[in-house]
Amino acid sequence: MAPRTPNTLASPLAAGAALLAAAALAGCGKAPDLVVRISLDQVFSEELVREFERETGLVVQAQYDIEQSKTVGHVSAILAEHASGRPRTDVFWNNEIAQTIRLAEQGLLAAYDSPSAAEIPALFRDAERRWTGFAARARVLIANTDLVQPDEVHGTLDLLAERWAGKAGIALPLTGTTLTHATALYQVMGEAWARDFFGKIAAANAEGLVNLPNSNGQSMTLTKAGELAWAFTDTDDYYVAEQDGAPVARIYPDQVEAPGTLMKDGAPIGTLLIPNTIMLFKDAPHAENAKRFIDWVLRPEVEARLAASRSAQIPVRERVARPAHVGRLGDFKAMQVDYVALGQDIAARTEELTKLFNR
Amino acid sequence: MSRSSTPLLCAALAALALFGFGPLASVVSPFLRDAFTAGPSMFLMDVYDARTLGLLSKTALLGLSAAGLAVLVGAPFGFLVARTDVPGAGFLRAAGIVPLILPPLVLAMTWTMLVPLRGPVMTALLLALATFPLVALFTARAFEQIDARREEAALLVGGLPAALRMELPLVLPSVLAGACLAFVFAVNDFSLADYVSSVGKKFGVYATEVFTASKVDGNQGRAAAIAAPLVGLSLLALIPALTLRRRGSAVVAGDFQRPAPLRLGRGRWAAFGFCALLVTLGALVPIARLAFEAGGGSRLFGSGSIRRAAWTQGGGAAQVVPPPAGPAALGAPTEQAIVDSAERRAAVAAAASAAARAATVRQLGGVAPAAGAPTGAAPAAGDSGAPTTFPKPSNSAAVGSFKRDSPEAVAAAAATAAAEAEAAAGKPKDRGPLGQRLAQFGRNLRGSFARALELSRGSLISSIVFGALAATLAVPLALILGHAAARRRRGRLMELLVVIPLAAPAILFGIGAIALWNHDLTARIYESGAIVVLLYVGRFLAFPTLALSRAAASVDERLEESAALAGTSASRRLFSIVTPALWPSLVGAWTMVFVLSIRELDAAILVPAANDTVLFRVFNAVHFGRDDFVSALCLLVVFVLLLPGLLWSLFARKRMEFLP
Amino acid sequence: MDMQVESRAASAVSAGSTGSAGSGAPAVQAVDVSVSVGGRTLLTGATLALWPGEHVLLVGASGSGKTTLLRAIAGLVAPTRGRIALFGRAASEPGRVLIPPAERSVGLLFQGAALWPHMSARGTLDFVLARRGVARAARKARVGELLELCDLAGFEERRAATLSGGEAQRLGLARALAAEPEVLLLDEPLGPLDAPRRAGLLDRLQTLQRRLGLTVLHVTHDPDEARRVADRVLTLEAGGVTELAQEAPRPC
Repeated sequence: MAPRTPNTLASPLAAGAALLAAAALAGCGKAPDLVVRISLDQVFSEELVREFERETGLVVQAQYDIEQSKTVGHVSAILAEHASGRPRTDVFWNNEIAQTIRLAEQGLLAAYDSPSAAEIPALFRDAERRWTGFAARARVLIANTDLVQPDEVHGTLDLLAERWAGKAGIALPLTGTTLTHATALYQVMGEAWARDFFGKIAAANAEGLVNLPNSNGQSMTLTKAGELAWAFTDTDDYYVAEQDGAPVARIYPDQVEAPGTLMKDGAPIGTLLIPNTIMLFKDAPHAENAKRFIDWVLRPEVEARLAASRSAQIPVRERVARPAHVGRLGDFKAMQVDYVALGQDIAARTEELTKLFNR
Repeated sequence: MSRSSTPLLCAALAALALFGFGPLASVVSPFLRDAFTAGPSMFLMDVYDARTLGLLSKTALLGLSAAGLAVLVGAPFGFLVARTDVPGAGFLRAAGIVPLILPPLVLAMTWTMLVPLRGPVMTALLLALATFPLVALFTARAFEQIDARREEAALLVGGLPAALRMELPLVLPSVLAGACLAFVFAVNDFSLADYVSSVGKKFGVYATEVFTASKVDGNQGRAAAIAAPLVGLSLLALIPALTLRRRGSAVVAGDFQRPAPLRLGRGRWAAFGFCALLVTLGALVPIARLAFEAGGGSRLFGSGSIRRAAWTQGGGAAQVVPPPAGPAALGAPTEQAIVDSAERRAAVAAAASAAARAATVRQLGGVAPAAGAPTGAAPAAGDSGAPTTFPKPSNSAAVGSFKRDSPEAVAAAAATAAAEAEAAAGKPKDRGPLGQRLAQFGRNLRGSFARALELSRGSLISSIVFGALAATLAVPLALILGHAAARRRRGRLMELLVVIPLAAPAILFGIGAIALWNHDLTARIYESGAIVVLLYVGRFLAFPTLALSRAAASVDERLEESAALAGTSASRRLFSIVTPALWPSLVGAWTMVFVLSIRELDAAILVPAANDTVLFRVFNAVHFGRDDFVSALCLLVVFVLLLPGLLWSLFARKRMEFLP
Repeated sequence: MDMQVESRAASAVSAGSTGSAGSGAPAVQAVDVSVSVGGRTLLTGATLALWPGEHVLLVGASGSGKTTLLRAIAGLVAPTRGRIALFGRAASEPGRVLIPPAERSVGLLFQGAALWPHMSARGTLDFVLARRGVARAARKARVGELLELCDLAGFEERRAATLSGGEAQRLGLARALAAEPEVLLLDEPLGPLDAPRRAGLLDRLQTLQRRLGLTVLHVTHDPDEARRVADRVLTLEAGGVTELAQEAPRPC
């Protein structure tokens, strides 16, 4: 080997080190006063975070989510941060509830009874105050009014009705609110019924009789375009189609006794409500600022803003003002679910449903 | 003599171990612990059953079909654009790379709209459309490396058919290497199969299983176990690809003569038709659709969804809708729902016309808007008090409301709001004369781009910065590793090693990166953009390493040997003798990391600093953003992805080399 | 003398252009042939004529266009100016190759042999014979003959990469002969060989030429050695071809 000249050896390594340092500094402004993870769509939540920063002068590092990772990205990241012994996240604002329960179950959440939450109904608050629910979405049916009249569809069992063969859909129940919905059906209707029902859905899909779009957004898009006559989706997705001027109608499923309605103990089971939830972490590095943020978000004003936004979240507090199209909790029958049990079940149901649907 | 520098190589290997294998080790080690304690056989029984194995074989079949189709069209395409006098070969060759750069979902969205085909066949066709450029690129390179004289000897014997017959065995390994990569691409994609089977029978693939498993939080070990067969399948295809890519492309010696373009005679226009068709299907139509959407085309001219036409005209999935159920089935609340719906629709129409009026006033009188979004009064649900007036966000402002005060955004929002109002007010049959609609289309297009640029400038810049930093860090590492892989005895092993981080599922890689970097010692890295850069480098190091190992292998070893005899150190030889000969490959390697980094989302999404990347914004907007905004943003991203290639082709004479 | 060569060539081309392949026509005629590729001029104004059965050496400095002239005669490149005729038939005119290379009855031994690296000696020759429409049964015997002819018996299964320089040249020669050409173009056939092997190959060439009645145009940068087998020596310079000297009749 030829003799080595140290300077030539050092130069690329030094360049690499300099680059790394530059990269390390690139994202490094002022150290944050608060770290939040938010799975409510960035287009709505980012503005609120900025406003909070302006009002309080605190620097917030916010990590948002995208539709694709369906909240679970955040949860995985939070768990990974905890596992490495250095929790970074102060607050998690989840647009779902099931994963929140999972985090509570794992003992990662701190109890915090926010004064802003006083009026929130007990259904949406953890008894131990580890999390608080607000601004809910509901599972609804979106119907293309060019193809179907809103009084022709009534609920869950219409998915299997012969007359809708090939024309109706529900997102693949392996992710997102559809997974929560499916898990809720296991809880409310019982394991045997749910197994049978989803077995039939999977079999019907194999025959091309029920469509399984890849997300609620896709269910909405397909119905809006007329590729499906109707489909299950969430209120926020539905409202996007309505605001785009598409010929669509919203139907709360399982409300009245009718052929397609799912009944339990002689009464329609109602539709599932999925609230946003917000929580404080036990080892939050900035616990006091975190509480300020939670108080700020749980104000009625924020619920009103979310109701008026394009995502049309339904305020859970009766007195919060809202546009007409958003409606109120009392407008429809909500499914009676134990959210805590739902959160405990969801992982096992994911595996079960994956086995059923991913073939 | 021409061995690579050992200290440099050790440093590069350490970087590979840390950035590439560190995250994987962090996520897999708990699984191995579990497996060890639970007993491996029990564990495996739970993970692998008839269903998952069935999925795996179905996935492999899909990959084989896609790769086969990609060869069927990609190989002739690569040959025609690289070696014949087909008209517009240069353009076709460059445009033929675009389908690979476009996100596959863009292809799927476009073609499911225009073609009624669904299911595995459509999935395979779309995957082939997305991957044929891989085969074409390898084919083109192999055909270009045939010495002119060898080809001419065959031409003398029997013309073009004889030449092709002689060359086929020479280029076949390269074609197969491209096909192997197409296979790897196809078996790892789940979004396309999922999207394409949104209507009709669901088509599950193994990658969906991996994705779903990796989302069940707290059980990454199981997810890793589920991912293992897919990683294995990918490696199974990558190993032959690594071997095949070198065959038939031996060292290009000094007396190599570049072959001249082959004359196709009258066949050249048929060849042009074939190549142009592929480019149209894979690049032009998807991009045109994005532009159409960006200009609000579907609102102005109709969406043109073929499924809907089939549905309503009795073709395709259409079925006779039986008469509605009898009146007995109608309960009062359902009627209520209809009324409710009608009311809401009226409110939406009122708001839209208010938006239109506001926009018109602004355009005519130039009244400065107080807020970016036009406001309309929507009635409150009012049994609990006085009606409340809500600042009703316009459709366009939903995405952009957080930057309302920017004048550009305001103007753009106003233009779009006017277009929206126009579209919302009019039924399809009275959309106005074509000229007017085209003019409106042009305005919308400008508006969408202005808005996309205004709202995403910061994200675009940070994406470019992250991508550029990752590429700049990866290329020197790749140069050292690639050179060693080409020159050292165990080079092949190193090439195999470097592809493993790429074969692992993205989410697991991201989770592993958190576990690796989130410690007090590395806090500055974890909490800054550095982690994003390191994540990109670790994940994508394979591409530049393989490209540069191939490039280094084509440099005459005697150049280095003579420098070594002159007493030049190994590192000096690498940077002074080898590097200057590799410029087109270095730039190609840089571009590849840059492009892949900007397109990456699944792993980076988990770390805080990746929040502000442009792809993140695209996917955020896909859900609630308007189609025109999303499409304009997509086009901007595509432009950024193509930018390095465009700049190179403008200013450099040599062709950029980026193939592994 | 130059005038004579050129005028004979010119008249022959004009005769050839009428389409009558008269028996008195030269085997190869090039009149004022220039070749440019991609804006680079590779050959300027070359004029020559080869008579059937002649062995002509073509010498010239590096870059004078010797190889290009061979390629133009073989039809692998079209002249930008001038014309080429073979046995009185117009073969190339400016910008056009009238007779495709495979139909010219021209064999070319490339510089460095340019063998097909993935084929054995037998495979190479079999490939050529198959392209020329020789039936499978007849091919085997013909391959044997060709290998014998070029002193390659026993090399049937050897791949191109394993052959020595001389063996490679001989296989290149066999490949060129397999198509039964009337004109054989040789591009520096002695280039990579040592002295004894050069002499051997030259002898082999001479034997073959006489046995098969070939017309040979033999490009070399060193005419002294090859002169003994040649009828004439032509020099290619920028601007044309000149005849070096009238050689004594070749020994029989």
